[in-house]
Amino acid sequence: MPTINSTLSLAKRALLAHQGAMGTSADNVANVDTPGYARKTVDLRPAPGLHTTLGGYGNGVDLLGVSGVRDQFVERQVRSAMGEAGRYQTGQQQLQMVEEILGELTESGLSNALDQFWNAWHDLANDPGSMTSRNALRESARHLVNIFNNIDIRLNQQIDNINSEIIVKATEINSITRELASLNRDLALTNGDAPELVDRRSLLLDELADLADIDYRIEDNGVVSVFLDGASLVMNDKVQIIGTELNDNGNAQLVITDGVKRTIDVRGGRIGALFDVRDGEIAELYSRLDELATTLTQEINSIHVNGYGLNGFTDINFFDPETTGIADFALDYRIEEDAALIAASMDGNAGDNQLALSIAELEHKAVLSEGTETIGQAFSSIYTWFGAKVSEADIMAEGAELALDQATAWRESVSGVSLDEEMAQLIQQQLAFNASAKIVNMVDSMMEQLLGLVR
Amino acid sequence: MVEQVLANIEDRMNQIAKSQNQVATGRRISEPSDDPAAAGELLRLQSEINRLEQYKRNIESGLSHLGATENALEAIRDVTIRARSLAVEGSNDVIDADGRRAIAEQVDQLLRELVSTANRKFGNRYIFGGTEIRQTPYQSIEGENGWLEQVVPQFQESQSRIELLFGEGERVETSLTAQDTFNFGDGENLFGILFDLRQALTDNDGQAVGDILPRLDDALEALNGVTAMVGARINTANYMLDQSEDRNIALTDRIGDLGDVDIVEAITRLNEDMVSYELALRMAAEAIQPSLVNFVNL
Repeated sequence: MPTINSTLSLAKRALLAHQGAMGTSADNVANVDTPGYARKTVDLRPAPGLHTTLGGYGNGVDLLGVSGVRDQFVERQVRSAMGEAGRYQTGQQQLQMVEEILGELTESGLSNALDQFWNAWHDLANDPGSMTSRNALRESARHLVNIFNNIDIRLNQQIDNINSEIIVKATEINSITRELASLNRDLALTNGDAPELVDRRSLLLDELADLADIDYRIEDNGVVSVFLDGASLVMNDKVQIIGTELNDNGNAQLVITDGVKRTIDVRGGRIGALFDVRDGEIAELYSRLDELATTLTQEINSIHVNGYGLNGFTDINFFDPETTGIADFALDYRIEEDAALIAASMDGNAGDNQLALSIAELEHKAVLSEGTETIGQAFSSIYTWFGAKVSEADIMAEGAELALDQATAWRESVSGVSLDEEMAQLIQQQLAFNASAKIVNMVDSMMEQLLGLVR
Repeated sequence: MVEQVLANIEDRMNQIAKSQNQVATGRRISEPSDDPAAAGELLRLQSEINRLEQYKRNIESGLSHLGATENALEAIRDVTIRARSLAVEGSNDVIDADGRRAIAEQVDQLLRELVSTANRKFGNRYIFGGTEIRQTPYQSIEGENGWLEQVVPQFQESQSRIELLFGEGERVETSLTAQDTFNFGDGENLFGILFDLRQALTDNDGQAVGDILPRLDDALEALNGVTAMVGARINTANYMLDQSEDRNIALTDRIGDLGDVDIVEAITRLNEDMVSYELALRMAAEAIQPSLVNFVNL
């Protein structure tokens, strides 16, 4: 049967328990903005009771523990959404930068330069005997060459930037995995019960998910294992570092030495997007533009070598025949030196313009895409194709961000701190504390009564 | 909830930026991603307009060449008519040897005029030179008596005419060769006729002078034919010029439809966007503020 003493100790335990609960609520309120923080709840259980033949008598409340509120399924959803959002956002950014390089709808674009180039051939056809029209033609050809070369330089810069970024991001992954490995040690020691460690683990996993499409598994003792493309990055307190080296194209690739050295294929997250854009869209853009440049060179040269310049020279190329693409697209060095070598005539007479006419008519000849597109049409196709890619990326990024917002909101509703909720709880806990304090008071006066009996 | 509100505000801000850009540039499409298919078409349309302008320049160049040719033909025709009236005069029985000699002198003048016209230049080319722009078509050789002895053609056996591009696939001849103009019929040559006329007058042979008349008539007829042909080409060129004007207008309209933004619509949209934005801000302020914290008396 409960005695005054046992009631006193019951009330004392209650005071302690409610103090603890209030402390936890205060902790939650303090951490309302902390990233990665999961609100804590206290585990209040009735203290082990006294079982007698007269019935079970309770012993008050015990505060058994404090734990963070997390739902691992929700956490996985959030990380998956983060990976997607990171990937599409980065993809969108990179593609938009390339779109600017193409910069078409202004006068300085490639399409306009091509138009001016054809114009110059028309002008030569109108006045085949003059140096003026040849000089103008050479200038417009130089302009065209510059634009192509310039696109190459800027695309290359973009690729360099992407490669640097890949290396930086790989370093970020490594610093996170190192920390996770050492965190695993502490987690194992506390059996996964220490909320601060769990919060830190959660934050680090978030950061990793944003960067790449990692897989992870959390063991019962709180230790986490992390994998990327099947390779183990973190296993207990062991970490494997991701290295970078150059592939055959001189571009960055990620490698890991797991006994044997192998490359890592990243398909998601920000790093995944970097690889996608570099090896996908930019590579294809390059190859299509290169084809444009080499076809232009071949078509014009094949006509030009049969013609005669102002001084009767023949068998001269207009563009450098060694061109492999936009990087080395150039005028033939002899034309660079002497514009009089530009041929307009087919019959050797200076007044003949048949060759100039033929080249001017090349504009409408379907020389690309298996004979279905003219040079201008091919370029406009490239333009449309790329624009569609960017537009697609915009849409995907928007969708992914929306999904991430939803997933995050869900996680917030489970693990986030609601100030209103904490306030309400604090009121409850304070009342409970006050009530228990009142009980101590009452027991105290009961004690006094008792003692007063004995004199 | 705070996240949601912030996301909304950012969305509205982006929308404002976009609308503002449209109003400022007057363009609906600044980047291909704004409307990829339309962007591609815009490029093609701009190329087409550019090509049209070039064809226009080509036609104008051709027209001025044809115009110069027309003027030269006029001069040649004039010479031929005057030669004819001299021939009529010289075939008259009334006139004597001295008279005929005086007329022969005038024919020599006509010959010189004819050579000069035949060698007329247009820019850096000879009007009747075809593609041989470096070669003077006829060389005149002076005789000892102060008269022309010979007129020698310098051009090749068969001259090539010049073509210009008036439209896609439309190559049009814009020049006449000396052969087209001075040779006609069965091996006849205008210079030859005039030399024969001068000779007949010098020989005081009224009959021979009279025989020149039908030949001059034939020459005139041939000249008329050539003049008509040049005239027709000029008409065609002018017609093509008009056509290309129309096409230009149609293309410009199409480009406007695709690429331009309706200013009134754009400004209205911008205003709407700004109102939305303000509303979002105000709602945000009201939604975030109330909290139990304010109400609890602790």
